[in-house]
Amino acid sequence: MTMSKDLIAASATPLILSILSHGDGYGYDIIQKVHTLSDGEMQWADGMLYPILHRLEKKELVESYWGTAESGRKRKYYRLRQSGLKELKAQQKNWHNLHTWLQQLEGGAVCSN
Amino acid sequence: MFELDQAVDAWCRSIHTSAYNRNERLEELKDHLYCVVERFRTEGLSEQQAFSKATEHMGDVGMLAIEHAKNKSLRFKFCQTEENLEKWRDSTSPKSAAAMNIFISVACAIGILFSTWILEHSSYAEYAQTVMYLLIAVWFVPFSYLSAIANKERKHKKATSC
Repeated sequence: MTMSKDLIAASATPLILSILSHGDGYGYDIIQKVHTLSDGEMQWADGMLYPILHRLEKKELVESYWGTAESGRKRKYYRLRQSGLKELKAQQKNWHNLHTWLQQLEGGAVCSN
Repeated sequence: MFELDQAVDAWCRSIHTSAYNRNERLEELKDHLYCVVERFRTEGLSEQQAFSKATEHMGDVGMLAIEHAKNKSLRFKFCQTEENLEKWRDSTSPKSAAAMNIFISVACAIGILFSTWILEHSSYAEYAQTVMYLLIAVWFVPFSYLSAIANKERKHKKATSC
């Protein structure tokens, strides 16, 4: 089952922040982790990740630094900041609430006035 | 003969004209493209096939440009506004375009003259002429500079899209 573009876009930030909360990462590595995690269901266009990362950096939720890959190429790594961790917690809470509400509705817990 | 480095460089530069405005972003994009190419190479594809598949994975260049536009600097946004204005001029009748040009010029001229008139009738009257020249410069110099950049980028885009 493929996910809608809107859902992919909405979930991108919490997913990126969550991945970075486990350790520093770079673009390709983040994409691979999302691919593995979703078993290929989450289809991101690779190039779309970078504008999101740059926006997160602009908002000071993540910070970046340059390193060197095993191949010798220059590589940009991203690290989660404290404000990013705070944002992640808030987003996790929102998604958790949404999940709970959907489950309640699925179980027939609809209030009828 | 296919040259991977040249192809990667050319592809990234084609993105650079439409969206990226910083060298470090270009380096980041190149690193990613090489990673994807290397992955497809391990699956047995030739360099050219791997490159072609990797660029597909990167996504549509137009869509990437839209996404990146959200992060653009003020200067870049101005160039885009300038470009949109140019597009509007191209699509509209020459009469309307000329009328718009005249309107903008007259509005700016009125603004400058009005500011000078206010100064002349204040205690700073001796500075009125200097301020008028300054306002003309402020209006003319940066707009000419930014229009020149917008023109340059438009020409570059046309050249790369051919």
